[in-house]
Amino acid sequence: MGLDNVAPTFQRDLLRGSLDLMVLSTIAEEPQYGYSIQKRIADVSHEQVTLPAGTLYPLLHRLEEEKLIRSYWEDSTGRKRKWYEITAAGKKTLTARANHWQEYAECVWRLVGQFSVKRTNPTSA
Amino acid sequence: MNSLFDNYLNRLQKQLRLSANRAEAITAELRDHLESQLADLVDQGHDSEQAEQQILAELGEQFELAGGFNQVSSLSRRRWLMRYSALTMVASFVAIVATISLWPEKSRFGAPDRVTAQQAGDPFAGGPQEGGVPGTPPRKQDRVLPSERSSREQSVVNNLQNLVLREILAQEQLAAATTWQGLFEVLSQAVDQEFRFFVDQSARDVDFVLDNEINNHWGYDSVYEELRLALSQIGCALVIRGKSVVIVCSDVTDNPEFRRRQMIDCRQLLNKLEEAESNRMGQPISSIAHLRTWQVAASDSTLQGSGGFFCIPQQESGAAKDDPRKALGVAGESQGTNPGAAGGTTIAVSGPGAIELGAPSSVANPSLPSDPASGLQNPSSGLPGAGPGAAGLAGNSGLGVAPGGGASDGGGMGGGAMGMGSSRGGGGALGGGGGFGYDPTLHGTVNHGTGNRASAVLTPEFLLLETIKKTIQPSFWESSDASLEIVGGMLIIVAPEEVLYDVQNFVQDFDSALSRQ
Repeated sequence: MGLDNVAPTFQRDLLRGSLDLMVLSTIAEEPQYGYSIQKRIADVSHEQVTLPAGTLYPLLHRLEEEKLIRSYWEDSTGRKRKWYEITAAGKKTLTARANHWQEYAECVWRLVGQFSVKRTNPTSA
Repeated sequence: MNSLFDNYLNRLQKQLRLSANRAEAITAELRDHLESQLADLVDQGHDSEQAEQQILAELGEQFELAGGFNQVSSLSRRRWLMRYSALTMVASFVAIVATISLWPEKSRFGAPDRVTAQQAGDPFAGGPQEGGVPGTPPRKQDRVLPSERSSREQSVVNNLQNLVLREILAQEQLAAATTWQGLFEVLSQAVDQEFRFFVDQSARDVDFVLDNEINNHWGYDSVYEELRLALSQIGCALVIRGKSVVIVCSDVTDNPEFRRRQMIDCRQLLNKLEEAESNRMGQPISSIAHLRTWQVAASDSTLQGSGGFFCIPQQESGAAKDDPRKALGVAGESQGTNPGAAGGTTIAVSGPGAIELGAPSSVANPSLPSDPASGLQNPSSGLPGAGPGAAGLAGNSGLGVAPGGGASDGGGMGGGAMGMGSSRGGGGALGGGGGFGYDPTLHGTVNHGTGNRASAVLTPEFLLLETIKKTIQPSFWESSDASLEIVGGMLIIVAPEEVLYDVQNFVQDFDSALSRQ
């Protein structure tokens, strides 16, 4: 379980440490439930990141334990569903980590960009 | 719901090492996920049966998935454990500092309110001390002839049926260590107050996987704190010891409403425990069923049964403060006397329930707080006590830790200072304007060396614990399962039935011996 099951489009080493960020950013826009988070990440990443449920749900629970997100149950649709929304602490963490990630990506790009066939800095797009 | 999903989730639930409620919540969440994904795939034209199989294949083996959730739970528990440990340390430190700074008898420049003089030799002997300051009111124990006191206490010893205890107490060195006197005072007072046991045998069966688990969990939900506060309102203490939740209640006020209120609160207690259980993480509390059967022992159950825990009525601090004799009857009329005039004694009694044990009185003590030469009065001086072996002293609210001194007679204390001896012989003493220290070797070392005078004040609680440990299955108390302590002024013993039985017999024996004298 874990990153082994993430779509092979990206190497798992690249994804390690950024899944939290992706999930937090997905929830930051509006409350989401597990399946909707999974679908949204797949859509936005053009299917390059497909987060299996076995990775997603423990991750969500961990973020909840860390008070970065909170959850509530709702059954208005006739099905008991657990929704997640980001907390204030989660927003702070998201901003900090996003900044950090950008700095890191730019740093890596300065080193390896010359070897990329695309030659376009993804972080400046 | 289809059977494939049901089977998968049932197997998953069994592999979750979480509370039933959490496991159910997780399976409910996954059920929603599976059904949502199935609906999507069917909408896209997939065959329903194939879609189910595909979804479950993507989800992976149950044990892997369960492992992910279990790991999160484990991490959380560890995190709370660390936080709890850190908080405990901080709270302990704050409590110590608060105790020092708020000590009732603390006097910045003055001396202890109550001072006793020690006579070397027979710890039970009293009488005016040679060289004592004229005009000092005699203390209660001073009015009792040594021979009378000795015979009285000897009479109790002779009446004891517990041969082990008799033998121990008959030993001169133990008597010299004054343990017996402390115990005598404690139990005498307890008997005077219609000593009662509150026994709850069912609590003995409560067995949790880990104390820390409860602490972590309850800390997380603030349940423990709420419960503790609720119980404190009705004079009950709550501790978690020896893998048991121990709730000790004492009807010290003899209030007829007490029991009724207590029972009401116990229903709330059960609700809290249920709440704790429902939110609990980690291993199930297997004995939660026992909690439902908890009964608060009624006062009718005095001396009933042999299991559970014991309770000694809490000292009434207010009354004891007003009448120090009530605080085991030794400080007596010395309250309010000028400690300087009391003959240069060293350590004052402070706090209700404290018992003081002799102090030489005839020679002025250079480490007496009222002695300006010592420098101890100065709250900002931070100077060590003047006497040899004196503990290090801090400022007004500071804390000093003595390296043990080496002489037992240097328990120097100053206003607002605290010193803690780190060894038996150390000159450590604790206190503000008043304080206490303990030196079991006191009587062998008084008047040692420079002529400084020493005294020690043993709390009756401490003496009681020590005596029980020495008297009843001494080796048992070294085991990790044993718990013997004073919480909230109450004696709490968590121990196997046979040990509790011995303790009960011990106190009953003492009670009988007192009544026969």
